[in-house]
Amino acid sequence: MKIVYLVLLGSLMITGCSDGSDNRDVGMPQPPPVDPGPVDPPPSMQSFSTFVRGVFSDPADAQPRAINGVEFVQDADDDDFADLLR
Amino acid sequence: MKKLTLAAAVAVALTAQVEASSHREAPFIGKYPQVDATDFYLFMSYEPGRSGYVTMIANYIPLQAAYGGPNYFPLDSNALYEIHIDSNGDAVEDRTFQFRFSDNLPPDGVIPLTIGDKSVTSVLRNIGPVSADASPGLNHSESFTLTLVDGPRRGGNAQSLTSTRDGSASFGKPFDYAGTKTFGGPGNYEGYARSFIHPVTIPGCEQPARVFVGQRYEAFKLALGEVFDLVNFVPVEGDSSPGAGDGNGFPGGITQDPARNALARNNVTSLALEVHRDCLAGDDGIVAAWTTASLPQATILNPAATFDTPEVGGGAWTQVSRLSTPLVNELVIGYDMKDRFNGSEPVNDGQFADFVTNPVLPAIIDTLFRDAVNSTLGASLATLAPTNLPRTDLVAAFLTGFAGVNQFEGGATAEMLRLNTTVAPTPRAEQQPLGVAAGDLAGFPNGRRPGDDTVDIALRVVMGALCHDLPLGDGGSGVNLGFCSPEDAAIGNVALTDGAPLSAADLDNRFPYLLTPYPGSPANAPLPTPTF
Repeated sequence: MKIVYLVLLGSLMITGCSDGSDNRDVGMPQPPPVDPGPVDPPPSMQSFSTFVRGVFSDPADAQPRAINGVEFVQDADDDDFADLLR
Repeated sequence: MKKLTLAAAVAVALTAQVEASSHREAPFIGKYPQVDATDFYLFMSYEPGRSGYVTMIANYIPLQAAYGGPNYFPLDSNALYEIHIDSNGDAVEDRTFQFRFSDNLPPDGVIPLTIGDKSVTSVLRNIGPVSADASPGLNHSESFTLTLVDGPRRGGNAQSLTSTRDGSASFGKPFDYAGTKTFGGPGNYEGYARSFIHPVTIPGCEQPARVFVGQRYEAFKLALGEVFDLVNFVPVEGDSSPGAGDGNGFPGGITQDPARNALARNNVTSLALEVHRDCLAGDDGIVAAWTTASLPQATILNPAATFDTPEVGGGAWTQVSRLSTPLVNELVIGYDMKDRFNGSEPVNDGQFADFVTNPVLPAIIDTLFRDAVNSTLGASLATLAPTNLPRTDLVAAFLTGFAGVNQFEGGATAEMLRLNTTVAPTPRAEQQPLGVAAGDLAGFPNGRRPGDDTVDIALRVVMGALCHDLPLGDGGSGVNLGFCSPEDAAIGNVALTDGAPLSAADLDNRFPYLLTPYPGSPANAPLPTPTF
């Protein structure tokens, strides 16, 4: 019997990207421009299982992958991650 | 000195806007208490004989009910806990202390019991007495490693901290305070816990450090439930002086009462580290710090879970919790941005600037109390909220620190807790709960000590205390800091308070300063008190 594993990617949303605006009020003094962080990729279709395997292949010190705007396509036949339970 | 005092007072105002602490403050992190930072402290050690040392305490796992057995409150062995150090004010970590935890069974596995003709593993985390000398009945213990990363937290030069006793790079963590019987009677737990204070060698640092990770009694005191119930009390001192009980303060105001602390009988888990300032601060003696927790970006749950492998994490460390100045995320950052803040780094804080320049909390307080204040006082105030928008006073203090106090020369604008390590610590008996605002330059917002009452400071500042004269001039004369005027803050000179008192007398006078945890048993045990 094929075992389908539940994959959680909850923490991905935390790495979500800003809209590129630093939202500063022009009337306030000081704060110099700052980098608002990584920018969202354009919306795209992603195989969920391929994405997960890609995440698992990333080294711990890598930049987390952004997911804002990504639409995941799930295929139950592909969503078997037993090999990742190492 | 005058300049120092004035500047520090401004900082008080800003951080007051922030209030204090960070328990379950964002929608997403509420799902993961093991990696939810609750408070972060940064101060010069005031334990006698520890001159020159800086203590950092990062608390995690909020609202621990002491009786929460049989598993109690282990940290997440799948997570990365960090304390970041910025020594030059560019809002990028120069050094990072990384904690990783392991869950351990006894060498031969879970302790078996012979039941009839069968050997069956025991059912609880502890089935016998626990002490510093021997814990034969403890099924599940925790240990940790501590790594120092020089440079970027990801990809920098990483080196292990080791014990000065035996050179080991693995350190024990005490079992939570299940109750007095487990530890052989009342009063024994603190001695047991203190056996887990580890002296360690830091690569490149001449002075040894100390580290302790374990359960502690919650030091933060707050009328938490009432605050989040639309501030369900009159947040003004109701007596002529705190604790007087004479009702001669603000009509209908509250009396200081420890019973108002909703966090009494709750514990937290502290990651405490004491490091000499020479190993942290830059040339100007200032150090900035914050704590984060990260999880692997993906986690696979094991449908056939074992003790060792209930789940598997993979991929890049993904930050899910961030904390330095208390209650920033809780009361300053917009609700839809709170988890973004938790995943952010100080160098990118410009994206949150509007929440500081145009804070929402004063408007909420205005909505809740303006009519009542006008009715009580027979006044006709148009608004209770400060009108000096944008709040440049809060921006300056919140993002930069203060010149002559805890501001880096040419430093970046970023939310970090900043400490001037050249300011001598104030002995416990002389510490002022209102910190710098009360003339105690070693207190909040020059770092933060466990006994600093950041809630009361916050309440007073958020409503515009800095727009009014402060007694910071020569001889205690009043001085306006120039950010705004009394006309900008109608109630900026009111003694706002949550009525839950806090002071250094509530804490120990030695590392790790936070008290013995509240025991899980017996029921209604007395509240912890200082042991040193």
